[in-house]
Order: sequence, then structure tokens, then C-alpha cells
Amino acid sequence: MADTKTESMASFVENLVKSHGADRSRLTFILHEVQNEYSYLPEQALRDIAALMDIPVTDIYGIATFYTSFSMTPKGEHVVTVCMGTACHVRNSTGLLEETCRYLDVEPGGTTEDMLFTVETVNCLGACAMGPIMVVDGTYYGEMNAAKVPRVLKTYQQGLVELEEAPVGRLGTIAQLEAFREAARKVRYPGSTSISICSGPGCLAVGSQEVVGALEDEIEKAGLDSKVIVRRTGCHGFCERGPVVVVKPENIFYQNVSREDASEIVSETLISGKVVERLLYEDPGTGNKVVHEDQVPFYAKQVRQILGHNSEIDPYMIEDYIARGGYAGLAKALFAMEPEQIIDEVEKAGLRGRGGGGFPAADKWKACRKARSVDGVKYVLCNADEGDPGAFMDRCLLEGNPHSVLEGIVIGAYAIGATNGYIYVRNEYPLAVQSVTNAIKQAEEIGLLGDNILGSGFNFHVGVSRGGGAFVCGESTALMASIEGRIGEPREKYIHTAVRGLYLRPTNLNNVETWANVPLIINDGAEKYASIGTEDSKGTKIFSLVGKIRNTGLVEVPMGITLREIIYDIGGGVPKGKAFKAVQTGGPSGGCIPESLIDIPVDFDRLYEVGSMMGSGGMIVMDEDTCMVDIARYFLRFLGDESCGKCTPCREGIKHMTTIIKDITEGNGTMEQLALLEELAEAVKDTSLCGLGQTAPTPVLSTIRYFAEEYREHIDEKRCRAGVCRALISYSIDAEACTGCVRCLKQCPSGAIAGDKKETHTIDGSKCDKCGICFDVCEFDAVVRK
Amino acid sequence: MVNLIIDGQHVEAEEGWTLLEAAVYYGVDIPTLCYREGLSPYSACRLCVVEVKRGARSRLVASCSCPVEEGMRVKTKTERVMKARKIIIELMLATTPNSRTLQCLASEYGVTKIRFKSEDRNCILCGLCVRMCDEQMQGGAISFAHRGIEREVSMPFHKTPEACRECGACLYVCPVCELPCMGPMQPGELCNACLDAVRLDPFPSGD
Repeated sequence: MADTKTESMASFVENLVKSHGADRSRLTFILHEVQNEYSYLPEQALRDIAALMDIPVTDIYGIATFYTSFSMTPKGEHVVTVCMGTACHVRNSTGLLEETCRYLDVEPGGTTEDMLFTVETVNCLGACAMGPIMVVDGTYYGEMNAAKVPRVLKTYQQGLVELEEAPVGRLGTIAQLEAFREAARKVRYPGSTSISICSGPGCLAVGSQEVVGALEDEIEKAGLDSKVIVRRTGCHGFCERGPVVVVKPENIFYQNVSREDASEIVSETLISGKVVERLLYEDPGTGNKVVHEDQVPFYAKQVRQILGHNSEIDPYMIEDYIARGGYAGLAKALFAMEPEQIIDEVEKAGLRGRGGGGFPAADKWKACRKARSVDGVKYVLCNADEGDPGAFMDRCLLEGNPHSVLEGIVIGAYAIGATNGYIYVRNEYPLAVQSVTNAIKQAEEIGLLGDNILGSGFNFHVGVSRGGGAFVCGESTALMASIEGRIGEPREKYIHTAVRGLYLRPTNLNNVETWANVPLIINDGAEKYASIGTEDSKGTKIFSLVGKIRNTGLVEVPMGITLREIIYDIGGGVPKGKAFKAVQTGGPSGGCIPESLIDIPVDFDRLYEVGSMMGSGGMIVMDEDTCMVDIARYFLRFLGDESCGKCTPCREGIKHMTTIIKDITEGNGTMEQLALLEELAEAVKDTSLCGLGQTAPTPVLSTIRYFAEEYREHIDEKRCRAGVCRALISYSIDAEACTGCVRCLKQCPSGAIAGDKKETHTIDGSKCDKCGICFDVCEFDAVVRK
Repeated sequence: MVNLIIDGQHVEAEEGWTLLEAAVYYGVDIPTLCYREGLSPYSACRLCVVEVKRGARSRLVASCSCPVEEGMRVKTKTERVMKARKIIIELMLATTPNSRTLQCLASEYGVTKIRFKSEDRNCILCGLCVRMCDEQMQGGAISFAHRGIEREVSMPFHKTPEACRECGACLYVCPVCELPCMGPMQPGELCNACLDAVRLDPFPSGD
């Protein structure tokens, strides 16, 4: 038995290596497949791979243990993943994880004895709007809480999007592209009714899959399937109201749609041309029902020049993208512009990197174009390792409009003189990998990628590279090491990657959103592009607006808009009558901006001045129930998990900062320790090797800068005003308000609540582990947290 | 040749040299732990940081890997550099209390107290052994495994691989598994025996 198993594994591995090829850059793909097949990486399989690919087994062992997606021990049949992203954290994902572990009787990262469940955590799944998120075998459960855990774990379903492919001939000239565009327009946008159903991460988490199925069934039943085009689109942005359905061309906007609504939408709107009132959005300010998408206040202040196409196209159909004007920028670049002209245009447009640093894109392009390559090979890369917890705009672009990113990359490659490219997608985004892989295949098939693009003589090949669960791989040198099939460890950049990058060749790396801006600049010209924005920050920026905010979702705003406008006018403010406290931007490298500063404009430099940064675009709103010391601790824990461990200050510094801040949140802190924390934070910032370490202290420093009072309260008064730090709070029951409904008593996992039905309950402080479930489930506000 | 200024001295360096190589050539002392002649620079311990001024801005760089550039102004002993080195030594001693090299560095840099919670892990993850095995001995028998604070130097699956010839080169270069410091044997304690020894600084800081 064991022998056949070993044999079959040997042949499985052999076939795998054969199909992928023995090139080292395929190693992560191969390891992912072994992990999928066996649920872990068996030692023998790794030894076989090492022999077949001629890679030292020491290297493979290093890689297998470095990336969190790989496991060295077998996993359970079902993998339960609890998201620990920032947006989920501020909505108590810690409590969710604890309850999941308690329910399954397993430690985080562990597997149940019956090998049925493995519980894992992930540092952000990019479905922040619906947090806290739990995923079981790929199925998302949004807006979870501890009390819902048993229900979800008892019943769950499965299902991934099936892909359609569209084979067509190669396009050899601009004329052929235009003819293709015209044909696609006629077939895909004939002017009759179409219906777009958002399948972005937020809507998927609340069942948009089922809505698509139900609508398709109903349309078929009504005999409309040849007349109405159903589009399963990428994210529209308004995740809070998902699943979202838009009927075009009228742009009738339906929200919170469920499968049961499908028949009414078909009979009323598609057949009778009437609006289904109850599915419309109600403006909370005026109480009026809003029919059209652009009248919804959430959308009104946005400028959706990048994201707007998401609701119009099916990301798996290149026809849709081309019919909406896609690849015209590429044609213009290839036939009407010189490479230097393109770089000039990008410079005039003032395009700055959307990945976080805000470095001028044209400067990078110039340096890379100028750099000499020993064999003529140069690379352009797309950074889709969107690791910032709370940010999911890159995911939505890749899943919702992959061709816009691809077009930008090809234009950039032509301007730089690059021959090859990679799109590096983080492993937590399987749908983005699928979507972009499909897009590359389609573009290659019709001659928009590969050799002799559009008959121009320009050759450019692009591949997809998959991460292995490591935040640090968003750093340029670590990302390149990871593409090469090595440990994702940064190196010093005294010699820029534009000169010596991937495989020691000149390499240009830009982020997903940056690339998506490029076709726009080429199509519309720099002048028009630069008319939006501030002096030094041009164009728009996409933010994921999440946390304690009424309208969660993706928003695209012009640079220069104030934080207040985003939070209050677009976001609708803080829900449940709570007071706004801070907004966190820039992910783990960014800082918390207090209320006194929310009138500052959104601009790379202004955000940096106030101690935060633009970052990739996560915007996490915090209210009075968010403890700022706990937030600093949260980010330190995140960074501790994600530090590669190479350099001393980052590895050891984060560890000791975490220890100190943990002491403070547990009531054991001193003012001397706080001073040491600041000193250490400055040292880590000053001496770390890469950007991760250099910015790791920012959450600590910015919370100390603006919320010193909260730190002092934790230390001197042993008090957490937000009621988050468990060691400093206690729960009790208000005898006046308690009705004796036994709800809290039944739900309490530690049996700390006593009392009979219709009698006042009491909490035994010695048994209470302060999970807060009683507080959450009580309908009479009788549970008091102090 | 490349012209630069190190601690106020105008010096010439060969193109392609690192700052550390230039400094060593002119007898300027820069402490190192993860650097060793003959092995590729690794820039991990950060002990060799120096301050480099470009225009109005100055920053700390790892001298073991930063190449010399025309007109560079380098200072190796500024307050900022010394402060950084001290805290790095303190951080390392918190995990590796009995390294003689580190205890001596503590005395040299005036580190008299470890303010962090101490443990004894007996490895500073400088990676000299990994590079020695791979680059000089052509062994490739050990590597880094795991990441962050879990990071360790390990043989694959914790089993001695065939590639290991037991040559001992890894032990030879290790700054920790040398003869231990005879002073303190408890984590968190410092020897500081040479703290007041007179040291002559041939290149005092200054432009």
C-alpha cells in the first residue's frame, strides 16, 4: 500500500515537473500543485522535485518553510480561514477566530484530530468591505461573528466560476483591431438591455453567485436569453449594498439583491420596463428612492475613470474590453508614438506609483530604458502582491478589468524596450490569477501579446507568477527573488533594479493601478489626465473604504479631495451613532490620522507630512470603540508575522516592540517602557534593510504622536477607554435592564453566566474570559463593559 | 578611480569597491558581523552602518554592500551611527548572551545594560555559515528556513544531507559558537570587563 502511494507520488511529481518544465521560476507553481494534491508538502515529494529540477534540497526546504501557503504537515479535509486583516480586526475578527478554535477544539494553524478541519489565519483576503470574513474551502462568509460560527461550519457549499473562452484569429494591423472592435460592439453592446451583476469579492461573500444563477434561469424561462446580455462583472465598488445588479442601458441600480428577487427583476424590469421599487437604494439623508446608479450619493462625488468600466464589461471576454475602446491606446503607442514620446507623455501626466511610495513612473521608465542589458533582455513587472490588509483595489482591477492592466504593461514595455514581463499575483487571490491568466491567453490569441504585436514588429511576452503568502514579496527585490523561485528576501538596492533587477537584467516594476492608468494617459493625452488632481499628485486614486464606516466599498476619487469628503459624503460617516476617531491609511507602513486632520487633501505629500502615507489605498475608518494602542499592537503582530527575518533591527526590533506594547495593553506597562518603545521604533526605522522594516514603526509612532493620552491611560490608569484590551475591562449585567431571556447564558462559551429564565443573570468574573459574545447578543443593552 | 570623503579625509577608491572595502583600505575601523572577506555581502546584521550625505539629506547605509560613488561624503562615527550600532548590539545580546564577540562589542561601544526581555537562542542569524558552506565549500548543506522570528539556520528536514562533508567550515566562521565569553552566563547580563580600557581613535569624526 505504502509502496504504491510512494510510487504514485513519484510519478505525480515527475509529470508535474515535466508539464511545468524544470525552470526554477516554475518552482512555486509546482509546490502549490503538490500542496493542493496532498494538502501538504511531503518530504519525499520535495526531495524528488529537488532531484528532477536540479535545485539543492536545502533551497527547496528553505522556500517551503518561508511561505505561509505551504505546509509541512498534512491539513484537514476542509480548510477554515479566518481573515486577520485590519478591517476585519476592527470588527473583532479576534473573537471570531477564538470561537472557531473553541468550537472545533483546535489551535490556530492546527488540524482537528479527525483530520476534518484545519483552522488557519490569513493577513487579509481583500474582501474587507464584508468583514469579518471567514472562508471555508474557498467559500466566503461575510459579516461573520462568533455567534454565527456553529451555523456556518455545519453547512457550507462550494463553487468556483467556470470560465468561457473565446478563440479568434490574430489581429495583424490596426484596421483589423478596429474591425474586431466594431464586430464586438455589435454582438456585445447591441443597444438592447443588458444586466450586470457584480461578482467582486464583497458581493461574492453575500451570495452574488446565486443571484447570477437565478437571473440566468429566469431569463431563459422568459425566453429572453437571446435578447438580454447577462454580464458577470468585476467589483462595482458599493460592496455595502451587495449583491449589486445594474440594468443597462438605463443604469437602474438594484441593491441587496437575493436569488428570490430574480423573477421580479425579469418580469417587471426586463419585460414590462418598470422599476422594482423595493430593490432601489434609499438615500438616508432625504429618504428618497434613487433609481439610477450615478445619483446614488456614494457614486456622486467619485471620478471613476479607472474603475468605472468594471460594471460594463465581462472580465473574461476580451471582446467587451475592446468594444469599450480597449487596446486603442496600445495601437496609438505602437504606431503613432516613439518610445521616448510615451515616456514624455507619462512624465507630463505626472503619474506617480500607486503602490505606495508615489515615485514618478516616468523616472523609473527612463532609467530602465537607458540601462544596458547584456543580452538585450529587459523586464517589466506588475506588482499584484497586494498585501496591505484592508486594501483590495488591485484585486478588483485584476478580477474586473484585467485587460486594462495588461494594455498598460504592454505600452510600458514598448516605451522601455522590454522583451518580457511577469504579473506577480499574491496567492490569496486565486480568482485574480484565473482572470489575468485568461486575459493573457486571449490577448495572445488575437495578437495583442507575443510576437509581432498588431503587426508592429514589437515582441513582448508576459507570464503570471504566483506568490506563496508573504507580505514582504511586495517589496521589489523580494518580489524578483520570488519570481526567480527563491526565498522572498529583500536585498540592498544600492544598485537600482532598473539597472540590475530580475535575473540581473534591467527591470521596471509598477503596481497594478499604476499600469491601469497608462492606457488612459496615452488615449486622452497628458494634459487632460493632469487636469485632475493637485500640484504634485495627478489623476485619481482608488481607495478601499472599510472599517467603521456606513458605505464600505471601493471608491475612486480625484487627488486633492479631503478625507472628510471621502468619509462623510461618500462613505456616509460612522454608523450606529458612534464618534469618529481616526482613519488609517497606507497599510502596515502607514499611520493613523486623527479627527483634527481630516480636512487635509488626499495627496502623496500631505499624507506623508502628517505621519502617514498614501500606500496602496487601504482606508480603514476607526470609531470610539477602536483602541489605538491595540491597533499599534495589531500592526506589530502583522509585521512580526511577515518580516522575512533577514536583518536584525526588523526581526528583533519588531519582536521587542510587540512585547512592550503587549505589556501596555495588559496593564503592565511603564512610562520608561514607552520611552524605550519610541527609541527602538526610531532605530528600526533608521537601520532596517528594506521598506518593510523602515516603515514598520510608523503605526506605533503615529499612534503615540496623536493618541499619547490613550497610551498614558493604559499605563497610569490601567484603563482602555475603547473597551478592547481585555486585561483592562470587565463585564457585568445591569439588573435593571436584564429581562432574563437566557440568550447570553446559552451563548457564553465559558459558562460564566448564571441565572434562571426571567430572573436577572449574573456574570462570574473568575470564569469570564471576556470574549464579549454576551455583549454582542444582548438585545436589551443589559451587558455592561467597563 | 572614485573620489570620496571618509571621516573628513579625501580618499580614492577603485571603481566597484564597497564603502567597507575603501574604509578598511585606509585603516578606518568599521565593525562587522555578517560580513567576511571572500563571502558575498549580506547586509543583514546592520552593524556596519555608516552615514552617507547626499545633498541636504543623509541616511544610514550598510557599508558592506554600498558601492563607492564619486563625491560621496561618508561619516563612520557620528552620533546617529553610534546610537544605531549600540541598539543593534543590545538587540543581538538579548538573544545571544554568551557570544564573546558580542560581549566585547558591548564593552567597546559602551552598552552597559540590556533593556529587552532576554532569551538564549545562541544564533544571530548572520548567515556566515550558510554562505561559507555554499560559496566556499560548494556544499549547500545548510540554509535558512522559516521566517521572521521563527527563522533558523537548518539542514533540510533537520536531517544531515549527503552534501554535508562535516568539514567544519560553518563552525569556523561562526561568531557565536566560538569559545564562549567567560564572563556572564545568564541571559541579560553583561561582562563589560573592558569597558574602561583606553581606546585610541585614529580617525575622529568630522568633515
